[in-house]
Amino acid sequence: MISQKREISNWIFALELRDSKITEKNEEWANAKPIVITPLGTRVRRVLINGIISQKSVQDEMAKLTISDGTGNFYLSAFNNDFNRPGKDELNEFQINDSVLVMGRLNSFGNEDKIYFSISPELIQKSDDILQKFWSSRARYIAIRKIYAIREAGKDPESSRESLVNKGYSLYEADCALRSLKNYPDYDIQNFERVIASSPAPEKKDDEELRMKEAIINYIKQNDDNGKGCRYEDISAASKLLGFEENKVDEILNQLGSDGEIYEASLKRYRVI
Amino acid sequence: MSTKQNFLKISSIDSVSSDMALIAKILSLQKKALKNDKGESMYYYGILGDETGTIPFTAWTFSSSLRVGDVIEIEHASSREYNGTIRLNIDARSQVVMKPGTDMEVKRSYSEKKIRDLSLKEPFVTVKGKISGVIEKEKEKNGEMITLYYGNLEDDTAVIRVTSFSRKLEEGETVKIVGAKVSEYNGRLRLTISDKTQVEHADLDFKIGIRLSNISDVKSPISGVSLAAVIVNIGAKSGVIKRCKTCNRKIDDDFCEEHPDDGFYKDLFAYFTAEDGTGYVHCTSGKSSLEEILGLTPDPLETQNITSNQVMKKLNETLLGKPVVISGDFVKNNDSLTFRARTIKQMSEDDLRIVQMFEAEEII
Repeated sequence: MISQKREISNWIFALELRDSKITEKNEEWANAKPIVITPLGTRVRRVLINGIISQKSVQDEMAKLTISDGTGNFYLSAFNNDFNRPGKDELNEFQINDSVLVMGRLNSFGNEDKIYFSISPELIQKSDDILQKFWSSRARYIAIRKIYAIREAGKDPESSRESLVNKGYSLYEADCALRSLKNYPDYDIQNFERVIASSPAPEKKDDEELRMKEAIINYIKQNDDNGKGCRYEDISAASKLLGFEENKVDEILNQLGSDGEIYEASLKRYRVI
Repeated sequence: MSTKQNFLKISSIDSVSSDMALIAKILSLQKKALKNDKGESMYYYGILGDETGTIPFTAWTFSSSLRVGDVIEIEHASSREYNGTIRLNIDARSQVVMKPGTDMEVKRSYSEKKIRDLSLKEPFVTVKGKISGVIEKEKEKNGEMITLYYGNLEDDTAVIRVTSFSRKLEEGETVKIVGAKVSEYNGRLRLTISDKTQVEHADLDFKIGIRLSNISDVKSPISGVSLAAVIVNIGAKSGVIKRCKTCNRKIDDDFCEEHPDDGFYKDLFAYFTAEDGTGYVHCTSGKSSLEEILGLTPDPLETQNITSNQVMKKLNETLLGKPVVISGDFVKNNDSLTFRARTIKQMSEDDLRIVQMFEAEEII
């Protein structure tokens, strides 16, 4: 019988993670990965997410999946030698447009301006419509409770754990609210609430769009000019040869940029993240 | 301690104040270890009472020789509001002296609680609910035969076992119990009705239905709760187990150490972890709760030809990473709560609607 304490998984939207800019050293274990502090004050080391696979890339040693939850993307990566957890081969069994539930550990990397996140999966399973709705509904409920606590705490500079608990919030929600106000005092919480209020649901990609995205990503990867990035003119010319419309190429580049798949390394030069 | 001190009565402590002195009786006392950056420390909490009322307290310094029933004199205490209740705070500045040989009449006051919110921190409470599962038992006490009544009390949040020493419990009766004692037995909370407890008929201002709860909202070992969750882990030793035919204990070999000649029977057992986004709980389940989900019948396992590996495979296929509604009882186990699942079912569209209604009510 399991009796040891385990770390809770955070059911959070991709948007909450994408907007996170702060990490905290893990005091419990010197070699542990840093803890991510999100704009809603959530301390994240493990997540439980649900969404649709929108990108897949399999290389020699690793597999990567991009999962969209309707508010943004999560990035999964697994290696050949991942012990006792889903590895490259297991990830490779899933296909684009599969709906999946994933529990995993969060890795963060980057600099002061931008942090990137990837998830090392501990559990990945295909999910059905009920699970997708249940996850989305719970994640929204948990986020909204935190938003209400943040608003309540923001009304009074003297707000404390105790005053928030007295108003009906849990200790966890009170801590999140105070952490949010301390670390993200100017965060646009109204926009976050607007995005999640519409019960976001991930959309399946049509085949043509998927084909274009995959082709453009592969082209950028293979034509990265010594780390300076792939030129826009080259991408455009290659796309024409593949029969893609020019205005559609611009649209796909923009989408890949906002999905966090590529970035503009310098003017009109693109690299894969 | 000063004898000229102006001692406050508990009923007059109604706001946040400091430097108070009072004489009170310890009505309940518990201690808890606290770990922080500075190391491990111990604090005490419980209920104090005097002839005007009762008040919960937290003591950061407290003599370990003090016991429930002792009357104490306290100086330099403060009070603060926590969770909507005024608490007395006894810290390093406070002085606490026992007054041996002194007794004190205490006027009890009981706050009305939902069953899910009951805990040993508040040992006397008022609760409302419906009585069910009543059984009577005769017992000898001080040379006399008395009748004890055992049953369950349920409200819209949970179920709790009730023992009544004084009043007959009627099946299906809806009651308000004033001054019931909360205690813990075999890892579960129970209520005791004594001759000091008032039990009166009451109309319930709530409906009893599915008692859905967030995992993080349950702090005590209460029963009759449903959780909507995802199963994120299934214990590797789940499957077919053997039990002694006489004592029902799980046995590792083909015989029980205490009843080696009595034989064994096969049973199902699974343990798993459920998460609902607010928390997690380790769950256990037996044959009756697993049969339906595994496609088995209530017949003995010996006749159903199923192996541990087959059970494990089916559990992984039907439960792992799946949304479920599990109903059962929280049990205290080595200071943490585990969940004994009585029923497990895969979440349906109807269940999802109930979950979403529950969330909407909580947000409002």
